[in-house]
Amino acid sequence: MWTWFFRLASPPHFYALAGKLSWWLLIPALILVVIGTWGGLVLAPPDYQQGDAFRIIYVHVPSAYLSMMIYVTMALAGAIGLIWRIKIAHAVAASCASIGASFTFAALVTGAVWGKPMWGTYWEWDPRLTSELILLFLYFGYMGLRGAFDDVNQADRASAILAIAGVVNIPIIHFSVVWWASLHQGPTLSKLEVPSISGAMLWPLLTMILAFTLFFLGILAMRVRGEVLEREFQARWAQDVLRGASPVSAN
Amino acid sequence: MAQSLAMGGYAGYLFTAYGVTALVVVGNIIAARRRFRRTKQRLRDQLARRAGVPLPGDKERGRGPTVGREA
Repeated sequence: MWTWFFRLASPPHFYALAGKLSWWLLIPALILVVIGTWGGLVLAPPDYQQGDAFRIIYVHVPSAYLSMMIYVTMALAGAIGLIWRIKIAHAVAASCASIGASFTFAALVTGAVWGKPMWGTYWEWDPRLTSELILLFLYFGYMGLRGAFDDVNQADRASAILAIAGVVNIPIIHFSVVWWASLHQGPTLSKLEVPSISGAMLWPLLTMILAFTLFFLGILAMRVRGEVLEREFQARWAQDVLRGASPVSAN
Repeated sequence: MAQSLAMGGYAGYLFTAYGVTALVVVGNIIAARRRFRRTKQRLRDQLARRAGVPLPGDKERGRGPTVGREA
C-alpha cells in the first residue's frame, strides 16, 4: 500500500497511471450520462409543482456539485503542495481550474434557464446565485494569477494561497439556502436525512452525479499528464517519453 | 410522442439547459486533448531545437539542459 502510494508520487509512474486511467474513467462516465439523461428526461415522472421543468435538476445539480467539489479538490491539492512540497499536487491543482470554471458556468446557465419559468427571472441577486457567481470569479482569479507568473513554482505557491483563502466561499454557497431567505429551493439531497425526492426521480440524479464525478476525474487525469510532462521536462524520463518511450520503463 | 417532446411547454428551457451542459462536457474533452497534444508537440520541438537534430530517431541526450520552462 505504502509502496504504491510513494510510487504514485513519482512523476513517471503518475504520468503512466493517469494515461491509463483517463479513458477508463471517461467512457463509463459518458455511458452513465446517457443512462442518467434517459432516466431524467423520459423515465422520471413530472414534478407535481414544477411539471417537466424540474428535469433541469439532472444537469444543474451535478454541475453545481462539481463546481464546488472541484474547487475543494483544487484548494486541497494546493495545500498539500504547499505543505509537503509535492510537485504533483500542484500539477493537480493547476489542472482543476479550467474544468471547475466550465462546470460553474454550466451550473449558472442551467440555473438561469430553470429560474426563468419557475421564478419569472433568469437572474436575481440571491445569496445562492451570487455566491456561485463569486465562485466563477475565484476560478478566473486563480487562472489569471497563475498566468501572471513566469516561474511555475511562484505561480504554484501564490495560486495555492488564493485557492485556500477562497474555500470560505464553499460553505457559503452550500448553506446559503438555509442561512438566508432565498429564492433558490432548499437542498434535495442531504447526507444526514432521507432525500426529499421520490425514488423514480432520485436514481437518475445519483447516476448523473456519479457520471459527472467520473468525468471530472477522467479530464483531470488527461490534463495532469500535460502538466507533469511540462514540469518534468528537464528529467530524463520526460525527454524519453517525448521521444516515444514508455514513461515507467524509461525510469 | 409530440406531447411528451413538448415537455409541458418547457422544452425550450430543457433543451437550452441540456445543450449547454453537453457543450461543456464535450468542450472539456476537446480542450483537454488539444492541450495535451500541443504541450507534447511544443516540448518535442524544444527538445529537438536543443539537441540540434530533428526528431524522431534522435539518439543524442543530455546536451546541457540549462534552460528553464520556456513560455
